Amino acid sequence: MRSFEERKTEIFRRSEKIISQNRKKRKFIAACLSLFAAVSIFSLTLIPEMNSKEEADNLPETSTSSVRFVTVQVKAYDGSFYKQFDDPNTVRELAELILQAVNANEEQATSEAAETDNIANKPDDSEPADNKSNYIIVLTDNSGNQTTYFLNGKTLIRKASGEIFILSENQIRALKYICDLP
Amino acid sequence: MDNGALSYRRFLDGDESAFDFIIKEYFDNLIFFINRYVHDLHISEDIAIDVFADLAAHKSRYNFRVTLKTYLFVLAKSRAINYAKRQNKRRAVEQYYTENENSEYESLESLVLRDELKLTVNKAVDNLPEDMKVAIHLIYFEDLTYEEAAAVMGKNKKQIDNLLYRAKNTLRTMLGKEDLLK
Repeated sequence: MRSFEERKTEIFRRSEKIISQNRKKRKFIAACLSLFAAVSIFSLTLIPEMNSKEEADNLPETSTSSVRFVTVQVKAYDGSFYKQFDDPNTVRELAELILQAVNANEEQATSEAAETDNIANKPDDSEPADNKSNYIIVLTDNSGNQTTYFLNGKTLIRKASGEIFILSENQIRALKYICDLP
Repeated sequence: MDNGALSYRRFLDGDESAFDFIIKEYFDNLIFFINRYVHDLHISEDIAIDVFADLAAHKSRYNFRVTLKTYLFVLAKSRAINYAKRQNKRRAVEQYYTENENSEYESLESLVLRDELKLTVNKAVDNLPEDMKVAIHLIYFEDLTYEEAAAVMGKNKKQIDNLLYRAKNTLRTMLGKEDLLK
């Protein structure tokens, strides 16, 4: 059996070991908690951003517009033709077609508009001089806002700004096909 | 507040010499008590060192609601039982001790049990069932109150009373003496 001094030394040696082990445990737990907190904060900030980005990507919308169109009306000036499209796929197709033409031809259209007489005169609701193959295309978005274009042959004119865009043969053909224009 | 608790309070306040008093006051008694479960003096000493190391390391665990002696005996009992379960020891005292260990036990015995009567009874007590043995030890050898003994053993006062009654009857039969333990 140990002497008093031996016992005392051993007691304090073991108590120091216990204190040291407890200190290490506390540090480990603190590190785990910090890591957990960091991961939680990171997830909470990052995941909503990812979700909103995904939602934006999944929106049935044109590449340039953040607005979502819900209907497209196509009518002839002389009243001989009228059609309204509500089907989401058809609306999207038409909207994309028109906006593709607008975006692709924006610079070209503005320079061409400067050479023609149309740039000085903002068109209004009155009929253009040539009624043949003239249509009014109205796109309505989910907020109820409307964008109106005049289709005159190969020319597409934005009513609000008077900008003119030239459609390609393929675009005309596609437009006539989708809208079932005569 | 008892002397042990006062010394521990001084130790918590920074007086390391106060812990010396606690070791001198309780260490041998603790070994003797642990030996009731473990039947190995060296293991009992080792467990007692662990108990005191625990007391020195975990300074906020003892809440001063019981005497320090009671607290130490509660810790000791828990560790002794855990050790005995792990080792699954059930040796009779007379089968275990070598000559050297026998002399060590006898010197510890006389150190702790300074009373002739207690020395006489001690050998018989070891043959009692565990609960009775521990109850006799705590009440008659360690001079704990019934409440303190109940706290150490995890029983109520009534159960301690019953254990003591049965233990005394058994000891009377074993030793053939009346009024052995008052």
